[in-house]
Amino acid sequence: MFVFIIAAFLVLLVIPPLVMYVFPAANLLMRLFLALMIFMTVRGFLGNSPLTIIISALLIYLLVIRHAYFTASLFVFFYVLLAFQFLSVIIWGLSVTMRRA
Amino acid sequence: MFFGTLGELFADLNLALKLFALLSIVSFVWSHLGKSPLSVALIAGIGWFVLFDYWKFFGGVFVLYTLLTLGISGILIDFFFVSQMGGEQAEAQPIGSGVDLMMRQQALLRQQARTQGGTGARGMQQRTMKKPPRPPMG
Repeated sequence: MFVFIIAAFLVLLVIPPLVMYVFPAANLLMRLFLALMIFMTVRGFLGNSPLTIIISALLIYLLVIRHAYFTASLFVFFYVLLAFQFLSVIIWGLSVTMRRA
Repeated sequence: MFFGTLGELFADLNLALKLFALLSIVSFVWSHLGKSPLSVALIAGIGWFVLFDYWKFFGGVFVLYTLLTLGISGILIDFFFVSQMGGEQAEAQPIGSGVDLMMRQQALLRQQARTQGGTGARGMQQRTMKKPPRPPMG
């Protein structure tokens, strides 16, 4: 069962970059969303200041422009699925299904 | 190739992680001391210590802190308790009704009687009521 859970997590990790690669609109939307999330996070830490713009620009260049696929994968996996406890549902569902099978 | 070369990816993510750690330090110091020359000196000192001197330690700690904040411990609990570490043992069904409970008790009694060589519930009750012989005195 351990193998199936890891495989399911890997599939979940691969889905966002795949969707971004296949659909250009999704790629653009995800990049915009990531940039917005980074800026909001930095502004939450530092408030409205020139330092916010500088650090946001650096992070957006590193995470959104250079490694958008990787960042999108991590973002969806950790920030969406993990934070909303969806991974627990997957573990529970897989364990019940595998036990019955 | 999705992720570029692995070395570049690691270096860039390391830099991004350092920036997030710096943000945490700045936010922590500003929230406690406000924006003053002392806070700037403290940010520089802590920043140097955390981001450059002992980054190999604090980088791991920061990643762990972030993952725990996002709820990775719930995943570990789910994996080790809900899925029972990937074991294949059958799941015990909860008791549904009084009839279910009675049928379970009867099945248990039958099984015990079978293993101990008696017949039914009465035999088992007699066996459980029988006291062991006392040891001889003196």
